[in-house]
Amino acid sequence: MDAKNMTKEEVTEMVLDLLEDITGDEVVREERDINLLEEDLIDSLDYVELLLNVQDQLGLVIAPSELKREEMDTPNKIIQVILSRRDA
Amino acid sequence: MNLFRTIEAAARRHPSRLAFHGRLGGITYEALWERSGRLAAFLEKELGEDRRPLCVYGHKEPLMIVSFLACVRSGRAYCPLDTSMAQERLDETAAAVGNRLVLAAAPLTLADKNIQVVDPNMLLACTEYSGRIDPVLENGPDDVHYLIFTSGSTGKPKGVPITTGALQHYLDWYFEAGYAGPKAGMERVLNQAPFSFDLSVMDLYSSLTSGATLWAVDHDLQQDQPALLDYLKEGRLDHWVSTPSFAEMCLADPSFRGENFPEMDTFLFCGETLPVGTAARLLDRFPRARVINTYGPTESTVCVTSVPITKDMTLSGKDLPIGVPKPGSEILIRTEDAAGTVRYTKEPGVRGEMVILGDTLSQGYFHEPEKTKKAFGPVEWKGKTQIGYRTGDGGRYETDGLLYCDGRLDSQIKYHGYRIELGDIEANLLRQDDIASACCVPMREGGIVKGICAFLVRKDSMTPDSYEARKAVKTELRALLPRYMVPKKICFLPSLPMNGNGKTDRRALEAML
Repeated sequence: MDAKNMTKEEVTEMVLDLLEDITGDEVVREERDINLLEEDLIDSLDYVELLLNVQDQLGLVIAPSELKREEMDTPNKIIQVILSRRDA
Repeated sequence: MNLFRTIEAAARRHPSRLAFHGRLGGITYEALWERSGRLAAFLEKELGEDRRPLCVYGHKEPLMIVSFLACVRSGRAYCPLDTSMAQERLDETAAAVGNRLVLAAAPLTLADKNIQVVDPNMLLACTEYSGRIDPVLENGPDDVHYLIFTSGSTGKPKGVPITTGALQHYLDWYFEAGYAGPKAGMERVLNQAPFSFDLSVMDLYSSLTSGATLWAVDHDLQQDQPALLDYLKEGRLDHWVSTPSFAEMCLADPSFRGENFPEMDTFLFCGETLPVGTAARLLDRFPRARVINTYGPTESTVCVTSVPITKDMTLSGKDLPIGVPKPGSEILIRTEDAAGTVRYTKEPGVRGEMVILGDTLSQGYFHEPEKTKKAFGPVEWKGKTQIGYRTGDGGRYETDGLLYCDGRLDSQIKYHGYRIELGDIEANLLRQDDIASACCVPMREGGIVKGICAFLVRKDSMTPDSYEARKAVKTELRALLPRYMVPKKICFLPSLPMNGNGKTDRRALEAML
């Protein structure tokens, strides 16, 4: 799968699916500005898993060291980061 | 006791009293004794020197207990098979047991046409056979009384033979402790479990030897809550024997309370961990009844420990005790260090595998010498060598002198490299005030555990599901458990699914993920 051939909505949906799997809670879908770190919904192992899955499913390589946690601490921010990488 | 003479005496005392009542029929003590004797005579004539166990198939028909007694009165063990069992299991078990006859209280077809199925009509006719059974043929203490195949979560089921002697030792304890017999004032006893599940031995034999009426719940009734509650009320039950899951299901109905069950005297639980919340709610709704928790594997005749649960225990913030071993049995805690040195102890605080010694142990698995050797072996204790059974259950004594069960040792899962006991997480979830029951299952992906899901039933099932509620459960758990043990996913359900034996159906829950 390649993110370049997907619509913005399709990418968003895929990232939300991943986040719901990884955090185990559908709240990531309903409250997209929820702070995943403060809410203890995600930890460092989960970030690694998220990025590996993004690479597998969207063909986008993002190294865990490239981004600060604050840049990826809500579902919306994560979606934005991934969309901007796709369009870069 | 001699259980034959005890049941016979009950039949003499109360010939017209119902020994068994169910929606599929009932039978009086007189008819039960008479018909089982005639069927025993028929079996003796038909099978002669062949003393192999007999499969008895059906569900909650009176012919089931007539057949059980007939087998042992003719000196043969019986192997109960339930209608809920898969056809393949039935064929395998009938073949393993090996007798050329199978007694069927419900219609049955077997793949092996060399096995003759005595169908319900023929079976009924055989209970009117003209012969009489000679009491000399009855089972002695060393003869196998029943053979129950444990379902086991993995692999092939194992047959557990229990002798008449072991059953009698178990019943002696029940009479002495006042859970059955003259001290118990028992008149009507709930039978929830199918006869293929040895929890039913607890209600069946304590009821028959006490001259009480066994009030049986069938499978269809168990699925129909309003009809079930009416049926239970109609029974005017004084003794209750069930899995905790079944009681939990009844508690979901607000009319399940002392006012509607004025005779209720004793709740006896076995087969699963008794959750604190279930016990607390029972004590609250049935202030005049006692709640007894028991523990034991099929391999040591139904159960070997017991303890009355008090309100204080439910408020202590700990899991509930399983009590103290019965007279004649002993439970030791087995530990093994890194060098492989095995030690047995009863010292408080030491956690390990519970090993059972005593007079209600099975002699080992039916035709399975290898599996027998693994589970049953010599134990050195207090200068004597005895046979001990390794339960596979973790446990510990505490300073209060009581035993506590830590759950299956093999229900450990490996997650992110950590060994996790799912029962440990469940016990901690149940410490939360608003949680009635909890079941944790691994979330697997290609055989790898990707997380743990906790299925929870709240005491107030009307509370809406919300992120805040799910978060609160996790936050409270984080204060008690290491992070890796806090379930990733929290799912609230109106009730937990039950399997045919009335235990929480873990496989169905895993399938929901």
